[in-house]
Amino acid sequence: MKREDLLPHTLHAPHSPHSPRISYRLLFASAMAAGAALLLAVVLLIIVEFFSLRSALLEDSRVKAAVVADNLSAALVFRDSQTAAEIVGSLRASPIVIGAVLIDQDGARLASYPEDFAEPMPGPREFADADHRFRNSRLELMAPVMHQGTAIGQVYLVMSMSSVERRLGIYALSSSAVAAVALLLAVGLLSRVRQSVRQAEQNLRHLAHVDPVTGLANRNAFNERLEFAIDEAASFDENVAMLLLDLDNFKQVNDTLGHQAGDELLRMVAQRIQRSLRRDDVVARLGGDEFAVILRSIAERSEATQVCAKLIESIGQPFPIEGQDFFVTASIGVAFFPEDADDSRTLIRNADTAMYQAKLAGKNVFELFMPAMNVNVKKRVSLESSLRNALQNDELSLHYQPKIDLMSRQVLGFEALLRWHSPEHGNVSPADFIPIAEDSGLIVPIGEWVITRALGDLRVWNTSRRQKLHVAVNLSTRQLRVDNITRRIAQLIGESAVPADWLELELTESMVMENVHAQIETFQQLQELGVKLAIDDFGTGYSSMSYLKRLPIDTLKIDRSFVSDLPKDSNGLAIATAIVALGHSLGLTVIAEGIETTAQAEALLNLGCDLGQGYLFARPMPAAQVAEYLAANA
Amino acid sequence: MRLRLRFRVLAAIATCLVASAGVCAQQVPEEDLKAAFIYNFVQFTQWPKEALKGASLTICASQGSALYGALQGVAGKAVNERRIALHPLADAVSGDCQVIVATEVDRPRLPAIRRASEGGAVLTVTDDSELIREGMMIGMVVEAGRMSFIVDNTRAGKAGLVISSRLLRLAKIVQ
Repeated sequence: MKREDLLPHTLHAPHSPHSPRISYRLLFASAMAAGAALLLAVVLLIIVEFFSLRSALLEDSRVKAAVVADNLSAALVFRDSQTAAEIVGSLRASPIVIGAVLIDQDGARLASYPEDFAEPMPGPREFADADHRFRNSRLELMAPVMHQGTAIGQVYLVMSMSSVERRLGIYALSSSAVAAVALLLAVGLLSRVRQSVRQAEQNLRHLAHVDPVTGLANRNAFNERLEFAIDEAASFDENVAMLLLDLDNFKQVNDTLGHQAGDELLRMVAQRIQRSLRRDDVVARLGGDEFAVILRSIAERSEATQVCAKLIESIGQPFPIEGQDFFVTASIGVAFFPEDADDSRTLIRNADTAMYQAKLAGKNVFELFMPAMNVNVKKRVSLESSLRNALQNDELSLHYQPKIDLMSRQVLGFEALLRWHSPEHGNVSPADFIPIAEDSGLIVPIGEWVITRALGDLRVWNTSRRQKLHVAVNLSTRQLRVDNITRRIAQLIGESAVPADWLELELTESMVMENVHAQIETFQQLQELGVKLAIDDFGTGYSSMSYLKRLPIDTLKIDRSFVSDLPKDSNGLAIATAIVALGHSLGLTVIAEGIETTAQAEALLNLGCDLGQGYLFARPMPAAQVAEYLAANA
Repeated sequence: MRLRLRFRVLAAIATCLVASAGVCAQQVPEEDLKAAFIYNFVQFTQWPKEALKGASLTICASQGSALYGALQGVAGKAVNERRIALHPLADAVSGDCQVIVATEVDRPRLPAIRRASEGGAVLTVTDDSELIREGMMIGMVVEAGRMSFIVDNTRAGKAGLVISSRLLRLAKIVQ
């Protein structure tokens, strides 16, 4: 999937604040602002320069006039017009002098430069109070000719402003050029800054919307896209299906192989999900091992269920990681808009409820949301909170079902079965509360309590026995994942002060075979400890024969489903026969559970099955009744 | 009265400088013009401080000369906050004179005048062509009906007088 596809639709909308056009407009506006500021600065500078040039000219002219006036005093006193004309004529050295006139106090013209300068003199009032005026690009200046402290005449000087204008022009041109260059540089810099800001924004947006591990959309982006899809569906009267997909045993892979392998697995899952979907369906990783899918324009619910089946099938294929095949399953919850929810929050919650239900239903399945599920969820939440207190409140107890030697009919041991009597919910079936305990992690302390209690009971019963009994305890996947499970069990056995081989751990076939290579070491350690291992429900899962050979198992337990129809059911018989033969050829003890009739017991005995367990021999009984039972069946 | 005189003199000068010599000679008495010139010379001359002790600036001229009468019109005028006084030039030349105006009648007194001018800061002015060559500092000449003057600035400098460059500029000859 291209990166752009992951970004929410709003990012591509034309009204987005990040569209290039807007960006250029911003750049243009900034450039205009900078240009206007520069223009204003240039204009102000030119005005200031104009006044300063003009005042420099005025100063200069005043000095010239004063020098000439000073030189003229004697000539005026002696009324020597020839010399006066010479002195006034000395102004020709300055090209900006247009003309000069010397008059006496009576206004009589004594000398002028140029000699034919005939412009009329301004009247004494025309300058107001000043000694000068600027008019028509000219500076007209009047300087008194002083003699003995009194004015004896006036020098009238007309200066050209052309030099001021020329210099001002040059100044305006050069400062405009500088301003233009500065503006260009500023625009260049500005656009570069904008570019890097844009890039940074893009990166941030990418980070904010993309899951770094899988490259899928993240929760943020998903929420936006879901909103968008719902809005769209609402306006076009269409349906949206939301799939919430959770990997059932991802944590196991992550814990055994490390985070890198876990991330690799997530990437592969992401790829498989994408391959199972149409191009415009949305996939996101919401976090952890949770994925979400949005299917738009769904015409029928079956379209969504087909996708779910495809997803489960695809994810069910082995994942080759670090040279080994890993098996992961997924539970999927599906909710529809507008059928199940009319907003995104409710839709997500309902998909989550359906997913939860799928987990309860045994995982590796999908469930469509039904309103009744909410009731189940409420009940489950309530059960979970009660279960948290069950251990402390001593609401849990163990029932024991004897394991009988089919040949001698002697009791060889018991299977410990957990019972919960809740003051709130009454007797709760293990099928109801064990999954809750597993999901909430409560199974770990409960499981340890079971082992301690069972071994404690067994020690009492074995005290006076020559042939020691053993006790079988069921171990859940969740417990296997506890760090150093072997050491923990060794500690429990040590605390109970009993031999390790009194304890048999029962693991289901699917549990053992699921990522068997990751667990084989744990099994070996347990065997070294002396603990016996049994495979429960054998025949219901998929066993790898090669692993079966390598696994340190002591016992195979034939699932009750193969026992129930014995001896009439020929298929069941065949399977039981095969299991017994397989177990024996591997040197294992074979036990059958769920034996209810003598005929079943007979049939199994004939097959060579070693042990049996079931109502035929005894129902599971409270610990208090075991002593009595043992005495009766000595 | 003073104002009227000044106006008359200045008007005369103006007319004289602007108009042709002939008209000038006819219209303004030559002696008045000379007196006005002398007054102007004084204005453009600077005496050493110690030479000007009193509140007045004294011009000495022979009472017998035609210029004496004209100079009376100048007496009493102010120059650099001093009033001009006119004293008759006696045989024994007085050391009180700041300006000595020598005319034709003063030819016999030349040695005394010279002594006086060399001894102190005394500006010597003459209108006599003979005396000009005998070491007077400023000599007035009428040429082609036009009044001009020559200045011996070296002699004036020796006497401790500073003649304004503005005046020198107007002079015909400067030594």
